[in-house]
Amino acid sequence: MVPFNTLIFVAIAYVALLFVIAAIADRRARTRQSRWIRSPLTYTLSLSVYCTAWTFYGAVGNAARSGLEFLTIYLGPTLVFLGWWWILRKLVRIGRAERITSIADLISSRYGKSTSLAVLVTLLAVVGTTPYIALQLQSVTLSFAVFADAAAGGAGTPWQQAELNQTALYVAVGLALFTILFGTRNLDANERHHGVVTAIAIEAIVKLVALLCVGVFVVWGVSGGPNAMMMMIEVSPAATWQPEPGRWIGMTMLSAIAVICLPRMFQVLVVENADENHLAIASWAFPLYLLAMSLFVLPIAVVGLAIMPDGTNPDLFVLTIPLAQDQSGLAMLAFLGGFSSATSMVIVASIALSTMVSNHIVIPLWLNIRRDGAMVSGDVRDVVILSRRISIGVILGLGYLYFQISGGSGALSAIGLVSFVGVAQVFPALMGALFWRGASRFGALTGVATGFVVWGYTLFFPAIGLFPDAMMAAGPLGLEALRPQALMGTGSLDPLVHAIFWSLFLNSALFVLVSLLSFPKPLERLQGASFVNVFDRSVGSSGWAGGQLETEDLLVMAQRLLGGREAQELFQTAARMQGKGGYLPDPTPEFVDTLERKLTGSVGAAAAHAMMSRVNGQAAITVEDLLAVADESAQMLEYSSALEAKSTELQQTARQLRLANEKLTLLSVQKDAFLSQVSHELRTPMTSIRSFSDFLMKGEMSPEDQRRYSTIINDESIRLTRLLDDLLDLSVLESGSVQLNDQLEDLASLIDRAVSTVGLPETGHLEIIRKTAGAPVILNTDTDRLTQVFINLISNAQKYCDAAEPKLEISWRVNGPNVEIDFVDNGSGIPDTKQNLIFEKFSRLTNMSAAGSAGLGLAISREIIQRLGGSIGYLPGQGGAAFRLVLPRQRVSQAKSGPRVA
Amino acid sequence: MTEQPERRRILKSESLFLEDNVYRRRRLTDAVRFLPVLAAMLFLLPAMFAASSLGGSTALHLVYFFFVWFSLILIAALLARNLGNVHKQERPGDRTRSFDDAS
Repeated sequence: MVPFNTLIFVAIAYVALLFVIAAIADRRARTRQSRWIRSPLTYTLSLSVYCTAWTFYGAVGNAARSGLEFLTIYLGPTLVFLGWWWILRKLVRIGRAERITSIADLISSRYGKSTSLAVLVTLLAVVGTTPYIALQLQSVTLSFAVFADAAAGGAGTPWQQAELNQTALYVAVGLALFTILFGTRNLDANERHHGVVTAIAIEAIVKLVALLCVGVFVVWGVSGGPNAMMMMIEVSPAATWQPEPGRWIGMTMLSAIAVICLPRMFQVLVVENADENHLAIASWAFPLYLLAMSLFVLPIAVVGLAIMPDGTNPDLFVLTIPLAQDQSGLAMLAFLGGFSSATSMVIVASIALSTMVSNHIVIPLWLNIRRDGAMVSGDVRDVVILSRRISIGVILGLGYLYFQISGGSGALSAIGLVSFVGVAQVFPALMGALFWRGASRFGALTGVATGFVVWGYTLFFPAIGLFPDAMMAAGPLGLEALRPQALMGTGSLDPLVHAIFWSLFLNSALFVLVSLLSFPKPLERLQGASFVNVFDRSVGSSGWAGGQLETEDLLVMAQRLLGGREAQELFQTAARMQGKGGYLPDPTPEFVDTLERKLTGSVGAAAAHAMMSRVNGQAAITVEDLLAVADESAQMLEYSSALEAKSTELQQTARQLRLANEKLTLLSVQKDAFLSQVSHELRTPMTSIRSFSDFLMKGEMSPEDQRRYSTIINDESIRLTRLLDDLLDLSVLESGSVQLNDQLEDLASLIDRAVSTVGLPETGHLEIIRKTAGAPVILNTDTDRLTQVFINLISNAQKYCDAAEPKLEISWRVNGPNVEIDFVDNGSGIPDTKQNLIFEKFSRLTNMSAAGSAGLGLAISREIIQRLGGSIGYLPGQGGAAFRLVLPRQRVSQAKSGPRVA
Repeated sequence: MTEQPERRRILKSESLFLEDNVYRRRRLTDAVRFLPVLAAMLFLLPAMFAASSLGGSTALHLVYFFFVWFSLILIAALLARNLGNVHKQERPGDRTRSFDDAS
């Protein structure tokens, strides 16, 4: 016999072992060392929280009572996992993409971050799970009682309720401590608990091995082999194959739904999922685990019924058979298996529930209360952790209370099924969330609430014996149609099937109906689209993969917003203050707070907060946040567009300055060139004058030579004078100090004057053609100066036109207030490259200095025309050299005093 | 018959091989989708026809269920493995494997 104290010691040692494993796993996960923690095997094993003490002990009891029916509880989940492609794959993807923390979070996120829906689902989960936790306490307590009785050798009195209660209390307190220590150790952004998951994986192995060992012992040790076992099953009173189709299908469906909707299953399946690909392996590995768990259930039940004395609780056959056969080691193992099943369920369930309670009930309430006060964002974290710890305590307390009140009543499996139907009420809303964009918040609220009420009325309250017998038999206030287990006269159904049918039927019907009739808010529609079409998004967008917040993510974000160097400095400083090297400090509240303030400075408060919450994975971004972000962005946009205008202006000014500078440089160069040109031009005539005057001074020459030399000297002096006149003229014109004398005169007569001045009849070989249309053009301008320009142009043509029979065509026409005068000759014209040079000083195109011009003619002409308020330009493509003068007919006097254009 | 080897070689040419692969993956996902339907039929039908050919024997039903169950798990494991393989071949190192393409 196992002494009871030894059992206590083993149980405590086992818990301590789990403790160490969880602690190591936590530390390894934090330093990202262990691949094992994130392996598909661990994932699959952690899914085994589905198999609770209810399965471990209760399945045998169930098999003893109803034969193969216990299989439905495993076949349902098998269907779901074999069909992972349909639902689970999408669920896991959405969970990762939207960083879902619980099933309540998923439902509320999908339906427009609805708080009321989150609270409702949380409430449903707590009410549905509490009896289940009570069930675990009960099974552990009962298993202790079995050992206590056995240790007493039947001599002592069996445990009474008081002792059971006391044990249950110890167990509850112990589990609460364990859960608080590992479930709320740190606030992980993704709500992942590596330590807990690892401990649960170990427990999964322990319970499977325990059950298999008991099974092997029963088949080979007690009944004498598989064939004998089959014979026993055939004759056993427990197992007759009389399945009730409704119940069989109903329970398979129910357990299929439950495996998705149970808060603890959602936690391990979706929230703790480290890699989507693990699901593909779990799709067959988890059914395999379930198969192994159920393999020996019926044999154990059959053997138990055969060899145990009448009245033995079949729910405890797993323990009592080895004890009765004096296999104390095996019994101890079986005890640990049951203990594992119970503790893993309670731990995961209370973590899942505490997350929901604190995220959807406590924190919103706290924020509401605190709204008026000063908001210090750092302390939310502490409140979250505290509220989780309290929630865990409260949930276990509720479970214990339920256990005490119900007095350990009812067969284990009955309570489990009641729970299943309760949480299954989330299913229609969940399916709508995944597959139907039209599903609306009101629809979900109505459906879940209705299902909740119907479940309470038809199953939960009758099960805990809250309704008086009279009401059960005759209906409330004598209304037969409303009898809790025979709504609308459907009493012929099995009570469980009855409850499943009515609750899920009314739930789904109202959900669909109200969804069809209501109109969702924009956020709901947005979320609906992103949930239903989650696979349309690229793999890369599934958020902060790998599950490490984390400081690195923060650094990436901060670098984007603050700039690389500043962000790195900030992080480095923070790390140093925490006594760490490198760039990655722990994301402590202080640090996060500092960072948020820093970011506020650069992107605005709302945006900073929204981003931080996004990275932190805590708060959902509300529409208000988005609006605030949009507002701030708009302001910044305005500001930046103002900046842009300013900088455009600056750029323009800079460009102007640069141009002015270039011009000045150019002018200075031109001036130098001009001076050297002038000296050169002056020097040529001066040289010839000096040399010929030298000859004259020497005498000794014929009078003919004397006259010739004097003529040369005279010509050169004239040329010199003309050059000096031109220079003077140009300088006067350029300085703008020229005096203009306006007078009225006909353009044609001006041209005649110019032609006669050039003195064509003498040279005679340039033919002038005048072309004009309409009335004579009367000009009011400085006609003397204008004539000078005409003379220049005509003499240019005379000098440079290289045609055999040179012709100059002069034409003019009135164009608005201006007159356009064209001088076109029939020579070879001026090449493109030179066209922009001809108006410059000394810009003779060839070295035809013989022409007797210093190359100042066009420069002077341009100056004059500009003074007169017009323009002169070379007109390309006219078949020869062509100049166009554009001149106002009435000179604007302002042009005289206007700014000088060089 | 003489054309046969020639033809096979063409079918195995590089471009057609990838097409084959995509086609194969589509059919694999079809199989994955269909599997739970098959499973549901196999699990639920015996209950619908209580007096089935197995004749009310619990032991025989026990064997039936575990046999069917185990076979389905085996098929699921093979499908999941092949799905991963096909996927891997198709996009070597392109991105992490995920089974989202055929949805």
